[in-house]
Amino acid sequence: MTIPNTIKETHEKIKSGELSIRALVDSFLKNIEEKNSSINAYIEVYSDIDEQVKNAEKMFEEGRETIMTGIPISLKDNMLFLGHKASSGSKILENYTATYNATVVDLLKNAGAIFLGRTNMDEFAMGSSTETSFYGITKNPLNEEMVPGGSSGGAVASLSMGGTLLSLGSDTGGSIRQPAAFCGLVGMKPTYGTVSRYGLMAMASSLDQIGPITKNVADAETLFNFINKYDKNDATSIPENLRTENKKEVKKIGVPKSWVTGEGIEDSVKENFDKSIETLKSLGYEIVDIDLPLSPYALAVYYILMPAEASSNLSRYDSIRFGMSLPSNNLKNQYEKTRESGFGKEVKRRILLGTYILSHGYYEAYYGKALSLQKAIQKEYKNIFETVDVIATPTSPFLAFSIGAKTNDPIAMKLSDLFTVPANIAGIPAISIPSGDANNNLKHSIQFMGPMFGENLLFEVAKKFEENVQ
Amino acid sequence: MDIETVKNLANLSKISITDQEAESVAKDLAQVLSYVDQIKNAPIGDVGTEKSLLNNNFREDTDPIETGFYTDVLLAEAPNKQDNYFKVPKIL
Repeated sequence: MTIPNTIKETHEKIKSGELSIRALVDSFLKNIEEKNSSINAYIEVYSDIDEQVKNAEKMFEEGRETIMTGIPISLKDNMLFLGHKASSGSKILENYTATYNATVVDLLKNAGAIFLGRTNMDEFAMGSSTETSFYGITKNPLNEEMVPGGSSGGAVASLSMGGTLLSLGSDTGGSIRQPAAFCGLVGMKPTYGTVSRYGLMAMASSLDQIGPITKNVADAETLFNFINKYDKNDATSIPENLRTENKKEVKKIGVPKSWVTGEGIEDSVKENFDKSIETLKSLGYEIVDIDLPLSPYALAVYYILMPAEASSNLSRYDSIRFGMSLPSNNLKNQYEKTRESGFGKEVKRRILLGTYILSHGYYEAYYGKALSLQKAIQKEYKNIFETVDVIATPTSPFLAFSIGAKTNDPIAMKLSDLFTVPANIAGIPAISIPSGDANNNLKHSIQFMGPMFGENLLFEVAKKFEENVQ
Repeated sequence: MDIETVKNLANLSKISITDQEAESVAKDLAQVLSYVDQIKNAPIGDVGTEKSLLNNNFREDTDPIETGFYTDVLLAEAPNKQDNYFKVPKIL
């Protein structure tokens, strides 16, 4: 069976009767059956898919269908789906069953989308390679010796291996865009405050954002538009009347040259990026050299804010209210034993680092300074978008790397997020799309960043680029 | 960053840790801290007092839920409970 290219095409074919939801879902389940044992993209395939399919069929029969009815989608394991397990890739939540729906899940469920299963991820989204999950590593479907990137590695792999039509990931420092780049897919981090995070397990709340992982830009746009809604249950959700309008057309594209000429960037990444810039020029865009002097500090700011917030957020795993509990007759001992055994190595390191950063005597030097710097970076982007419409960079300084290659070097792993982190620090939207073939069956990618609420600009330029990429 | 500091952080974070682990953590944390130390020299300039859109937008707490309405849901995943309460080891 041929799977249609986009959500819209799929929808039309279901509507005309040319394609049945059952057959569509079965074709993905067959791929999962064949490939998941070696890729390990899914932690669990849900047991109620039949029921979901019947419900979607009924919606069509009764004329209640939406664009998402019958469309298969996979969920990252940190999103809550009522009555289904959700573990954030952690042992401490191995037996946790969600007691409510995340807002994105509610929106899609009411629209009749089919949730196929939950996908593997770095534990609590802490990682860039999906090698820290309690449920084992995930392999890159393009080349199984390589990591799929992370932390949404399972989400991206579930789509890349043909195991779903769409996937939802979360992006705190690049966790959607970097794995999408490593696996040759489209990944998007929307503006902070657009898509609700209610029901997303928090890592660094001031940076976390849910976004689409898709095969093409058109689907990213369809899915984003569907989940882009104000939500009173997320205190950081921005009411629609406060969302500023953006220009309708992209003319000038800014390129921060120093990013691409710096150290630590693979030669093939540089070459491919230069080629992409030529493509953009040939499409009629004006390329402007820009200077973003504070952006090189974004990764350091990230490694202060993120562990600080994570150490606070993860205090909720207390062995009492939910999750794993190793009983003891002494409460302090129960906390310490449960958290020692329930959290993995990387998670414990980040909790300890965050606790250090927030402790008396260091708070101002680290956290206080990082917050001021974040504000300055936000201003830097606000100003640059007065002169250019979008910014283009490579998505990651290097391509997907071998499994195990960077697990023992805490800095090398983090550098894969060098170009993606600034968008999280600034709160702006960014999209990663494939920009050509690379060695070892891998793909190159380009990232476009836009002003706040400028998703329309990203879709516009990304679609044109997508049509013309070699 | 020394072992005693790491053990104190582990105590504050309520995570038990062995001496051996503390040593390895101390090494890793020192590396990350030396990387993030670069922000101390960042030329931030004047960031002003302009309010960012990226803030918590609190709403009024209206229409309170009747007491007990969510008790079952809240307790559904509790590892240990008794008579509509979370159960913890004796503290005093």
